[in-house]
Amino acid sequence: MFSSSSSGKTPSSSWTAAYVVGMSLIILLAAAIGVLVFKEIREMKVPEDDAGWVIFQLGFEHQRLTMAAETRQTDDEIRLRGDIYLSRVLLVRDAPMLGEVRASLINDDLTQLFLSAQETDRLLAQIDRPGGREALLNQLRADEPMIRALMLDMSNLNRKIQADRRAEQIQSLVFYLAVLEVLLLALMAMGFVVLWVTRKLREAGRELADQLSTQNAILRSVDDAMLGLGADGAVLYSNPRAVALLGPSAAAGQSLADGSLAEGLAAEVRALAREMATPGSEGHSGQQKVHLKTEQGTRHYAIRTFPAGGAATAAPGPRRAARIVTVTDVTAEEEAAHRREEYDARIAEASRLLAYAAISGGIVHEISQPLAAIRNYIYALKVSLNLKPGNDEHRAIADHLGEEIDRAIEVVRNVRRMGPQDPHDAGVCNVEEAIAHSVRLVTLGANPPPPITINRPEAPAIVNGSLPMIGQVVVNLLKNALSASAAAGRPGAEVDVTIHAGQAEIMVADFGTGVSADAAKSLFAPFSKSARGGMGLGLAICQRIASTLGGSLSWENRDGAGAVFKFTVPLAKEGSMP
Amino acid sequence: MMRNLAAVFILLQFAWAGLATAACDLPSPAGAIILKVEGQIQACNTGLEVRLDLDMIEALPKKVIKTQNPWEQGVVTYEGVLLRDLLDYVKANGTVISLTALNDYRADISVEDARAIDVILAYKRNGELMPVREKGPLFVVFPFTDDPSLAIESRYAQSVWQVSRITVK
Repeated sequence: MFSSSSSGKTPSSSWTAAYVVGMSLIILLAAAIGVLVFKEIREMKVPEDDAGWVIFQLGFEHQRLTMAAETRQTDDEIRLRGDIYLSRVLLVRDAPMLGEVRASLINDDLTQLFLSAQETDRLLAQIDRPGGREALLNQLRADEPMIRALMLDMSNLNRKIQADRRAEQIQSLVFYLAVLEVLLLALMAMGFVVLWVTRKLREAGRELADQLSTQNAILRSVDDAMLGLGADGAVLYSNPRAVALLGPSAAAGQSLADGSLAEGLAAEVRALAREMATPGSEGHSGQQKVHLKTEQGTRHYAIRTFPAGGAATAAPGPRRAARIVTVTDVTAEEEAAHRREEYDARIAEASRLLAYAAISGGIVHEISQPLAAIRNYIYALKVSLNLKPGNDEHRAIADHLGEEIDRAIEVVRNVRRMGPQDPHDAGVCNVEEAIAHSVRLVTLGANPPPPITINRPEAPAIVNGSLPMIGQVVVNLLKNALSASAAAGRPGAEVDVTIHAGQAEIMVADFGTGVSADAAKSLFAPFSKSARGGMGLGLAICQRIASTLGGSLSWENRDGAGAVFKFTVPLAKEGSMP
Repeated sequence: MMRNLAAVFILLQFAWAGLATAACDLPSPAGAIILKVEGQIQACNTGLEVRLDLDMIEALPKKVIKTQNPWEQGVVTYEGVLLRDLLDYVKANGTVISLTALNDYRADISVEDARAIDVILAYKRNGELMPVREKGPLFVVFPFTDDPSLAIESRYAQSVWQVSRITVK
């Protein structure tokens, strides 16, 4: 259990690392090969058609020389043209860069070119003789087909060279693609291997986890104290936990709870073992719970005894009565169960109180009318007794009756205050009146009185709820507001009354620092007081009153400073104002 | 005021003419003209250009380069004038020199390159003058063997043979 995650993780993560490294290597290899192939292809693109260019220049200069001879230029001009032409012929004959071209061109044509060039050279030297010019012209014209053939050869050669070069480029590309494909296949194969190995490892990890959890279960079961007891209390065998729990007398070969070592738990175990060893109950299992008080509190133990099974049962002697005893520490479970019981009991108590409140509320409601009537009658009786002289004894009884009935009415009134508020006879009141009343109350005795701004509604707001109820809420909110404002050094408060959707909204704003996030958590909970003092009941009661009247009480912090408490209460139905 | 301005203007004219005549004082060629230099140059001897015969070119500082090239077998010794010395001689102040051959082939070399590289205008090959049919009379030679980084296609294209005209732009 504890090592299943780690044992599964370490090998698989190292495999992942190996996979990533392998993949990176393959990608790098592909990139390197790509760069090499690209370089090769780019270098192949360098043009080497200089050779072809020289042959074409040769043909071109031959033509220019012919033209010069035809157009009767000066001898010097013709000789210059001839020299230029011959310089190209010499280049074709001697230049190292043209060796390849010479090897590829038809040899006969080249030989003829060089021979006729010698002849041209000779004729050029004799150009100033009579008929020299014509002889040169004839020679040049005779050479023309041969030079054309050379140029054609060169053109074919160029085309062939270009085709070869393109073929080489394509071969390089194909080779690169093939290598890339092989690498990708290798990548895929590697992925499959990794998947396979990972799956194998996971299976192995799962098996290991199963084994470990079994071992853990076994180990945990040894948390129980176990011991084999002979009938006379001799400890036949015990585990270390038993010694730790029951004391030294639980060690094998000792006598359990003997003499000075007779401790509480050990004694209990011994007693249970002895009880179960009595004739008639040997074959049964037994269980008992033991509670022991220690310095740390009460500990709970479950003691179970089993008859020692197998051949030992059939054997005679003390072995026959041998029992196996286990002791389990169940303190945690017991405490949890105890807490649950307590909780259940509290709930039961609360529901009893609720039922009581409902019943007493009903009784009080029913009884208050007759009580009032009785008091009236007693007053009437006292008045009539006062009118007749000499009835001192009766008058005394009537006075007692009056006192008792007043007490009864007071008791009933107190009971009514304890029960839930009854909205049916709440009455109605004018909000403005309630606010004026409240302001008088909170500013009583303050000198100078804190400034309280009141924004009244356009129409009079008649709401559900008696003046004391509404007033209590407003007084509470005003008190809180004034103390919050005073604490921030900006005394005063602002009351805003508006009518909105059949409800009167009474907003009480202060100039304090607002409600802190901490205080906001339990603002309406009873007994949760801020630094302002008091019992912390004010807002709780206000909220209860508001909800009883069908309204609500909420608050928010203003952007500038301070908080606003909003008390909404439904408007009274028309015609209900007394 | 106007007279003053006019006087300054006339003076400037004289100065310009004096400068031009003073610059146009290179000796005239005696033999056959083998090279004409024209364009953005301040020196002259015939009209606005400088015409040179072989003697005048040989009179300039000499430079020898031993190098291989794609057109010759083995190492060849060329002797000629450094292009930058020639540019100084004609007082060139352009940025590009355009070299034209007898067959109207033309290649450009930047003045910057001509000043930085020991490129010569050769007139002798292995101690002998070069006739037209052996890439003469003038051949632009780069020291390819001394500086292998020069042995590239674009430098081969700048190695003009049978140079007959230089235009400074």
